[in-house]
This record gives sequence, structure tokens and C-alpha cells, in this order.
Amino acid sequence: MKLETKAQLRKFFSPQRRKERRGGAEKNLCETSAILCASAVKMTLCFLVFFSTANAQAKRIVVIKADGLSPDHIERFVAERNPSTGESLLPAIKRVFFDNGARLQNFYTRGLSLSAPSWSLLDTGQHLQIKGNVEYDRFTLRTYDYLNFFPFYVGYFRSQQVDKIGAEVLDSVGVPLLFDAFDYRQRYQSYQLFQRAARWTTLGDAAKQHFAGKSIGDLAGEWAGGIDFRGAMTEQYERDVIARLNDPNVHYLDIFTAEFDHVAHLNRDRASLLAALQNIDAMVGRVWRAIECSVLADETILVLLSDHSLNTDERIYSQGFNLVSLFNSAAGGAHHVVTNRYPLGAYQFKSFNPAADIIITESKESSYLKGEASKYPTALMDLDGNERAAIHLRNSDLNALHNLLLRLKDKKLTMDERAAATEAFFQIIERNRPRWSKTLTELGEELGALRRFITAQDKLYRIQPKEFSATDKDAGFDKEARRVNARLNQAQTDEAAYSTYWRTLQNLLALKPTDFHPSKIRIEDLIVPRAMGEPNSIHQLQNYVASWCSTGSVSDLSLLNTLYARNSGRSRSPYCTVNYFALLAEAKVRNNVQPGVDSHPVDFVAVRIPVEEIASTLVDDERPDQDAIWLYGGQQRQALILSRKSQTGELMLRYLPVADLAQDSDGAIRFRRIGWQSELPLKIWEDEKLNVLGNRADWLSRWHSESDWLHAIHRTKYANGLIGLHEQLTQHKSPKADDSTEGKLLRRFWLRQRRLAESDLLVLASDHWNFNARDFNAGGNHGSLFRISTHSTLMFAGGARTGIPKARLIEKPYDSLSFAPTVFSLLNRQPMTGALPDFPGRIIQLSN
Amino acid sequence: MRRQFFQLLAAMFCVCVFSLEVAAQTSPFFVERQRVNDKTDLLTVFAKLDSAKEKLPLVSVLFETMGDDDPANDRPRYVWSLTYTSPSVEQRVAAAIPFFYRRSINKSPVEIGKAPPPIFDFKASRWRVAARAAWRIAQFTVVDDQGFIFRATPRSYDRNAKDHRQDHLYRALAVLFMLESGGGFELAISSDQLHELQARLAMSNSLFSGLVKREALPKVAQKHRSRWEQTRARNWEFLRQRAEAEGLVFQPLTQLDGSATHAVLWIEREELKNKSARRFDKRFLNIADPRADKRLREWKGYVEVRWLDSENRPAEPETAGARRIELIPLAVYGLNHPRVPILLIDFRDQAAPKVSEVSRRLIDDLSRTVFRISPFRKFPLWAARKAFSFVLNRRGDDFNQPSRLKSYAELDLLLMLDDSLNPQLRAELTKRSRNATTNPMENSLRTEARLAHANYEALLASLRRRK
Repeated sequence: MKLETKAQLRKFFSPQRRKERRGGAEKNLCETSAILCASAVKMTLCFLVFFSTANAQAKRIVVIKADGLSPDHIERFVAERNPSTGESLLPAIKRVFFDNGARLQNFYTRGLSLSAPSWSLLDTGQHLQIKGNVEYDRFTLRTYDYLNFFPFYVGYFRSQQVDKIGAEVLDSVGVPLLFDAFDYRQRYQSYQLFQRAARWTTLGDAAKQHFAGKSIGDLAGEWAGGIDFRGAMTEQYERDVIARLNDPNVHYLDIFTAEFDHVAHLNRDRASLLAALQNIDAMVGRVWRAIECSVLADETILVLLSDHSLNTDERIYSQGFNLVSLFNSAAGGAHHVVTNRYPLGAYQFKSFNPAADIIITESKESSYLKGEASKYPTALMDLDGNERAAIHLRNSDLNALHNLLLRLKDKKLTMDERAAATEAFFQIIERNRPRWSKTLTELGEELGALRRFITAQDKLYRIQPKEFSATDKDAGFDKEARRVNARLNQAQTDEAAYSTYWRTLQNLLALKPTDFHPSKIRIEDLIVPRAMGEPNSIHQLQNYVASWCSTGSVSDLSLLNTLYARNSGRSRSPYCTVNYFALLAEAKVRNNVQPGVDSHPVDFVAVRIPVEEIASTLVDDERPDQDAIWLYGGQQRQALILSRKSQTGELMLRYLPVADLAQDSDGAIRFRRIGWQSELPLKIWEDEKLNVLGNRADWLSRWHSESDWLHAIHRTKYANGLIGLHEQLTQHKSPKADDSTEGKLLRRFWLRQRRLAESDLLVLASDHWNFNARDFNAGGNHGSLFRISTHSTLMFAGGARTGIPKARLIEKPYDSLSFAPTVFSLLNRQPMTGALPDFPGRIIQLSN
Repeated sequence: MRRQFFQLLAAMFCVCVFSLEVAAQTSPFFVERQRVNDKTDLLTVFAKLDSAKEKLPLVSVLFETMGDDDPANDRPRYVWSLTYTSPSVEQRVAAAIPFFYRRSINKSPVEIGKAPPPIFDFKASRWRVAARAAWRIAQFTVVDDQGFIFRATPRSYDRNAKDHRQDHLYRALAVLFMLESGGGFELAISSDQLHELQARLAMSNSLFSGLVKREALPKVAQKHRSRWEQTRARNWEFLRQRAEAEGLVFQPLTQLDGSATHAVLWIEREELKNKSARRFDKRFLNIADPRADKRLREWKGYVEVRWLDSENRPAEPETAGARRIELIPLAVYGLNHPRVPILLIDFRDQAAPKVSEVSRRLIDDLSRTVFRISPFRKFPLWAARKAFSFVLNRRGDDFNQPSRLKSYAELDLLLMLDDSLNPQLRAELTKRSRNATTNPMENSLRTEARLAHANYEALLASLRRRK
């Protein structure tokens, strides 16, 4: 039975099946209706086989998804008693999950404690493909704003979109969502980040229910006390879920609430947090009562789940550090900075606009790009979540080329200077030619495949039925048809944007010194506006060309700078460069007014180093087979996280303390090994809660499996941060790709989009610091690797036949990759051990 | 005779024996509950003052106890903010003068002969809606047409009286919120009762407050409290970031319960020597560029010396690596103002906060009494004025903003209760905050402290007489 179930899962999530479910473009276009029907029949059969063969006792799952819900606060308030009643302050959670269910004491998000990535892990059970709450494409500046629901509802209203952007992205790289395993009619999904389709009726019902049956006095009173419409929506989702519990055919239901997260961002006081928790507690009580009265009461599992927690402390305000201002300043590179929201500190009237996806904050100190902020922004920032920032910088060589082109257009340039600048210009092109040519070739192939996909999708769209019966709508066929249109629109947009990048790059590579007339050249024909180009190397980030330096004060000289200086007869480099690692780590504030808050806002910076660049500098025992991660906390406080697979396929990790790491212009990396000491990134060595046997230094200096690391470090200040950094910065493959050439090319293109969304720098904030720019979240924040932020809630309760144990506290640590396989395991009532082949996570052992 | 003796004994027992004092070790307040008669209790919140070793009565609440010992059915009837008193005749006359935006004279505590007026009457609350609406209609339809004096004088008086009451109501509310933060009040008053008081006081400005049901009050109180906390936290952080960006020193001022309600911005004297090339951004801070100000270079006013360690934390002078800094105060801001921290005191320009504060009042008064702008008479002008206010509010400009009454009220409370401030600085702040007052009915802080004692005594005497 066990193997059979796993096989079913594999089969269900296979690309072939997914393509069938989505109605692939290669199907007979003239028989779309038949195809849709056939797909539905296949899906139904699949589910029938899936569930009947499993002989599942647990048939239904209800998930209360509470964004940011802190398990530590739950534990605290469950233990506290109401002095007047003697009851727990959270009576329903205590009764349902503490007394009659199972709860995990050590459940963590894997990676950063950010909503979009964390929910993607929970909702898929697969490794991270989405790495931030907002992502930017380096080539096209497309913004993936996973938390902005406004464009989705506009798109849905205009029939141009059917899934939220998070679900679209996961679809493109072939990662299925947990609830995709349930037929459209078998599931009820509330508003959330990875949402498919929207229900307009919910809005109307929420308003109706909220105001219906209330007297004028009640309404006036509510007005005086403050109307809570967000709460009204959550209440409506709850009512919808409760209503559907009476339908035995609905097997998956969820309710999403962001109340705790919102409150804890703004308020640090006990009373506000308790009030938010009591609302969730009341919801748990109502849903549980409804489950108990429903037809599948014995076979229903209720889950309380959160994606992360929040770093909030009643004694401390979370302090913000303005990275936008830093990067706007000359010291920070005088960048025109892109964010996804208006920095609220500016209090601009236009910040009202919820549809704006790219906000550019112009640098007043920019030299060569003055006045060109909208055309040539050079830094992209994802500051959301707030205890970390993901920063893209325009490729340093593009800056140098841009500077040189502007110089070469200057008619006052002397002959010698012109010759030197021209030589330098072509030096840069030649140095980048192999990499850029590869991009050009591969992207060209992918764009060809994308154009063919567009043609097929266009044909498919044209023959889509425009009218749908109520039955078809109930089965979700109208959404499938709309999905075809959405994919077509996105593919057309992508094709246009990437083609522009491709053409411009081709123009640049086609330049020849013999036929080079800068005065006739338009810069935008060679340097793509609104593009960051290829990611920066460590060398580039340590010697970032920020501007043409009029003062001549320089740091490290690149080969190019030396060349220019020699050829032009000038003794100093023409460029002002910035070392971003030092700049960020050394940032310090003047006002240190709260005990327990450091004056350095940045804890450390993390970047990925391709394995081929680092491997040669490591001895055999240290050698990884995956990309390494470099953590920079200061010149003498650095570390490398090395990773490789064991013979059994298990992930092995090693932490190597280093100092003075630098990369030469030719790509060679050098560093100094140092001994274990305090104040290294992640502060493992000095943490009293590090759980290792024997000598700490011995243990920490060896390779260990991921699970050994988790057991050793999960109670430390950074919990599973070491594993989280690997998850965050590793370029994970998508599940098995389409085997056809066309399919491979398309998958490669969509994976390329994922890679292009990865930032140059991941900046982690110190404790009680945040990088939020759109508001002042003084109450608390998340996004870091601190245990207080990554520690998440997972509790189960179930009917008599679900096998969920009572009053069980599970101390063994797990992370968010374990949730999806555990759900499938529970629904199949299999006492499985280990992970399912398609899921990298371990199944949670709920029973002893 | 025997019966009278027992009645006298019972009365003494009520007043003396049934007086309950509750105070948590950590709370800056203590609560005294006294039985006034067999159906009413008087609960009074006192502040513990370290230096004077005395207690300052702040807020009193009269509870109707239904004559039983069940505290659950006790209902609040009146709330007194003990610093609040009926204005003197002179103060009333001054308050009625249109466009007179300054403090007049103090009311003498000697004038207190009767119990102070309650700041909130629970039973009147449901009728206030109708009474307020009736007066507004009468004013608009009848009184306004009688000429400028008839339009301006009642409005000026009403506004001052309302602001005067509101000022003290905010103080009472702040005390009740702080009482909850400090804890240890539960023996004298239940959480639900405290929340009821907080909610009613917080909503007292709302037209529909009288319609809110009793069972909804804890939630309303919680919402208001949350909003207060949010505003303070947000402004704290906003001001700290602005100070950081401009190279100024930020110092939060905390109330007795530890909550930061105000902040002082300083500049290091050394900083004045390095004239920064960077432009000073006065938006939000609303003070002149300190580095370009000659007055600061020759500053003779209050200066504070501190020592900081290498991480910019306060340190003792003998700490290794500690550096000495000399700080000149620039401004005090209120952190509980909606949207932006609001300037309350500008050490270089005393008139600046007052001008900002008066701006809205002046625009209101001019548009209502001189230009008679209303949605019914001159809709386009009325709409333009609303749009103007909306844009300014949205941008956080310190002009035509909602009154900073709440911030001044809490600053008064802070200056009255916090002994930890340097006395010289405290005197400076007290003097300057009073200079910014725009209400002729206001008294000086020193007078208010005396009034609080006098009011409390008068209240007790009055209740005993009524018994």
C-alpha cells in the first residue's frame, strides 16, 4: 500500500499529468471542448483512484493559515488564565490542539521568514523557487509583487488573469500546489498569496453579513468604535468554509488570516497581540464546532499553520535603517533606486496609487545619470518582510561602459584620452564576450521556443468557448479557458521585453573598434534602459563602478582602471568604486537609544559563489559539489557555507570560518581560514543552546547532514539559519522537466526568469533592526533567520478516525518542507516514514 | 439616639474603614477606592511622586454599586479629571473673544468652593447626540444670521470650552491607559470596568458614541489603545530616522509607565563647527537648519553634557573610550499625533509651534465666521477647503493639521509627574509649553497641580455632604 500511494503521488505530480490537467498547447486544437471534458474525466479518475486505493480514513483537511502567527505567543497566552473565569486566555486553541491534538514545538520555516517564500514551501513541499516578497527581473525589470493583490483583482475583473502571480510563477517552473491535488469542486480556497481564481461573491457576502441584522445603533456604535472591514472578509471566508463543511465532496478547505502579522508589525504591546490571537482562537473554536457537527467529522483534520513568526518585544521598538537613502547617497553609489512601494517617509501624495509596481527614488547625487532615473535606475530593492533586503545592482561593467560612452561622446576629449577610453570600452566588451554570447545564444533559442508557444497558445485561445454553463463553471472550466489567455498575454509581454534586451546586447557585441563612432551612437541602443544586465561577481561588488570620479579618490583599481590610467597618462583611476560588503557591514547609527539594540543595523551580507569559482581554493575535504555561500559580517568575521550531497543523496553542510575573502578581476578567490570564535556570522560558536556532543570546535569543523545540523542548532538564536541560507541562495532545479526539445527550452526560459530574479546581495538586519521603507513597522518584523522570526506554528487536531494523537507535543525539529508530505500521508492514513520521493521534506511523526 | 449613633458609626466605617488602596510595586500609580455611601464608591487614581513624597490625585470615578458587594454590577457614573475645573469669569470672557489665541490668567485654587465639574457623565452621554445636533441647527439657522459677533463669540467660547475639556479628558484617558499598563489595579477596578471607562472617554468626541453598546466597549477600548500605541511607535521611529538622517541626537521622553510620548532633538555643539554640505531637510522636523544658525553658535541657553561609548550608548565618564558630547536642545515633539510627530517646542523660535497650531483654528474661524463657508451656502469653497486640508494632511505638512491638544495634554502630564528629568530642563519645557497654549481657559502647570488637590478635597467634601 505504501509504494502504491507514493506511486500515485508521483503520477499525480508528473509533468505529463500536469500538462494534461492544464490542457497543453499541443493537444488537438479543434477539439478543445472534448479535451477539457477528457481532462476533467482523467482528473476525476485520478482522484478516485488516488483516494480509493489509499483507503484513507482522514478524508478531509481544513487548514487555518495564519500569517506570522507566533507559536511562542500561543504557548504564553494558552498558559495564562483569565482571572475572572479561570480559563486559558486562548481556550479554543487549548481545547482543540493542546488537549485534543498534536502540536510541534520546533517547527521552522526553511529559508527566510518571509511570507511569499515561506508559504510557497508550505503550499508545495518543494524547494524554493520564489525567494522574496517582491522580485525583479534583471533583464526586463518585470516586478513579481507577490503581496500586492490589487493588480490580480483588476486582471481578474478584466478576464486577463486567473491565478495570482505566485501561482503563475510556480506553474511556469512546474511546481504544483498542494491544493492542486484536489479537484476544483473538491476544494475551497480563501484569499491568499498562492491563490487560484477569485470569488466576487465573497466581497458582497462579507458586506451583507457584516451589516445585515444590525440595528442603526449597532452600526453607529461600530462606526464610533472603528469599522474593521478586513476582519469582515476573514469572517466571510470562515462562514464560507463552515457552510462547505456540510458538503461531503469538499475535501480541502482553507482560511487565510493575516491579522496577527499586521498587528504585530505595528504594535508591540501585549494587549494588542493578545486581542489578535483571541480572534484567531475564536475562529478555531467556531470552525472546530462546525467540523464536529459536519458529516465527515470523524475523518476531518484541522490544522493551524503559520509561515513564520515575528520578532517583536514589548520593551523594544524595531528600528528602521533606510537603505534607499544609503544607496541614493554618493557614498552608497548614487543609485537611482527601484522599490515596489513609495517610501512613506516622503509622504508623497501619489503614494496613494496601489497599481504602481515600480517606484524609482532618484539620487540627487548621481553624476553620470543625473536626471535619468526613470530610464536608467541602477539598484533594485526588495525590502519587504523587513529584517532583510535583497538588492540587485546594475552590472558594474555596464556602468563602466555607460560612463565611457558618455566620455567618448564628449567632443572636448583629447586624442590620447579618446584612444584610452575606446580601448577600455572594448576591453570590457571582450572580457564579457564569452558570457554575453552564451546568454545571447541561449536566450535566442528560448525566445524562438517562446514565439512558437505563443502561436500555439493563440490558436488555443481562439477556439476557447466564450460561454460556460453553470456546471462547467462549477468544474472550473471557465478558469482553465481564462488561464490560456493569461498565459498567452504573459508570454507575449515576456517575448517583447526579452527581445529588446537580446537585440541591444547583440548590438553591443557587434561593435568593432574599427567602425566605432560614439557620436553617432544612441546609448539606449547599446545599454538597455531599465535593465541590470548579468549579476555582479564578488569582485565587481567589492570594486563596484559607481560613477566617473571627478575627485579621483579611488579604492581598488581594476585592470580596466589601470589600463585607462596608463593609456591616458593620468595617474589616478577615473572611477569611484564602492565595496558594498564593507559599506553595509560598517554602517553605524548615531542614535543608540534602546538597550539591546546594536548601533550597526546590518548583521551580515550573504552572497552565492558559483562552485567552479570557489572549488580550487578549497582542500579535498572541504570541496563542495554545489554553490557555496559567503557570509560577510566584517573583514575578520566571515564564513563559507559549503554543501554537497552524500552517497545516499542527503544534503551535507559545512561551515568554514574565514577572513579577508576577495576575488581578483580574473575571478580567482582568495581568503584566510580562521579558527572558531565568537561574533562570526550566525553566532553559532558562542550560543549556549548549541546542542552538540563533545568538543564544539571539532563538531563544528566537520561535514554534517542537514538533519544533524537541524538538531544541533535549531534552539540557537539563528535556529536553522544555516540550512535556511542554503535553501535561499541555492539555485534549485524544478521537478522533472518536459522531455521534448521544445518543452526543455521553455522550461529553461522559465527557470532563467527565476535566476534573473535572484539578487546580488542578501542583507540581513541585526536584531530589532529592519529595512522597511514604505512604513515604520516599529512593532516588530520578520524576514531574518533569527529563531524568533523563523519559528512557526503547526498544530493538528482530528476526528476519531484520523489518527491524530491527543495532547501530543512533538519536540523533534521539522521545517516547512515537511508540511505537504505530511498532509498527503495523513490523507492516505499511511504510517509512512521518511520522505516521499517527490517531496524533499521528511514526513512528521505525529505518533510516538 | 442609639440609631443615630449607629448611623454615624456606619458613615465613619464607610469613609475610613472601607477605603481600599491598591498599588502594584511596579506601577507608577495607586488607586484608592472609598465607599461614599451604601450605593456609591469613589475611585481615585493617584500618581506616586518620588521627589515630593506625596501623592497627586489625577482622576476620580464615581461608581454606582447597587448597594451590594458584587463588583461586577458596579457602574461608572461620573469621571473627574482633577486638574479640570470650571473657568473663572475672566477666563470665560477671554475665551469668548474671537481670534484671541493665547492663555489669559490662572484660576486661583482659593476660588474652588464646590465640587469640580465631571469631565464625563455616563448617563448624559446618550442625550448628548441630540443636544449637540439641536444647538448646531439653531446656530446655523438662527444665531449665525444675527451678525459677526453672534457668529463668532459663541463659536469662540464653545471651541475654547470644548478644547479645555478635551485637554483634560485626554489626560484622564492617558492616566487610565497608563494605569492598565502598570497593572496592579484589579483589586480596585475590574478590567472590564477600566475598559468601559477608557472606551467612553476615547469616544467622547464621536457623534455616535452614546449609541455604542456596553458589551462592545472592551473591544472599542482595545482598538483605541492599539491605535495610540501604533501612532506613538510609528512617530517614535519616524522621528528617530529623521534625526539620524540630519545628524541630530534623538532622546525619547517617557511617561511614568515607560511609554515614550514625546521626544527631544538635540545637536552636538561640535557639529556646529562642521558646516555640512548636505542640505538640511526641514520637512517634518519643521525647524530651521541648526548648522546654519548663528544663534546656536553663540548659544547661552540650556546645555546638557553626556558621555557616549564607542557604540554611541550612554556611558560613565570613566568608561574607556567614552567621548564627551555637549548637547544643545533644538525641539520637542509629540509622538501621539496622527501621521507625523508634531512640533511642540522650538527652542529657537517660540512662535513656530503656536503659529502652526493656530493655523487650522484661524482658517476654521475665518471660514465659518467671516466668509461663512459651509456645504449649504458655498459648496465649491467648502469642497476646496476640504480638499486643501486632505492634501496637507496626506503630505504630513505642519499647517492646518488637527490640533496638537492631545500632545500638549500628555506633555503636561509628563512634566507634572516625571521627576527623572533634569529640573532645569523641566523648567524650560514647562515654560515653553505653556507659551504655546492657545486657550484662554488654560492654567499654568503649577496651578493645575494645586487645583488637583483642591478639586479632590472639594469633591470629597461634596460627596460627603450629599451622602
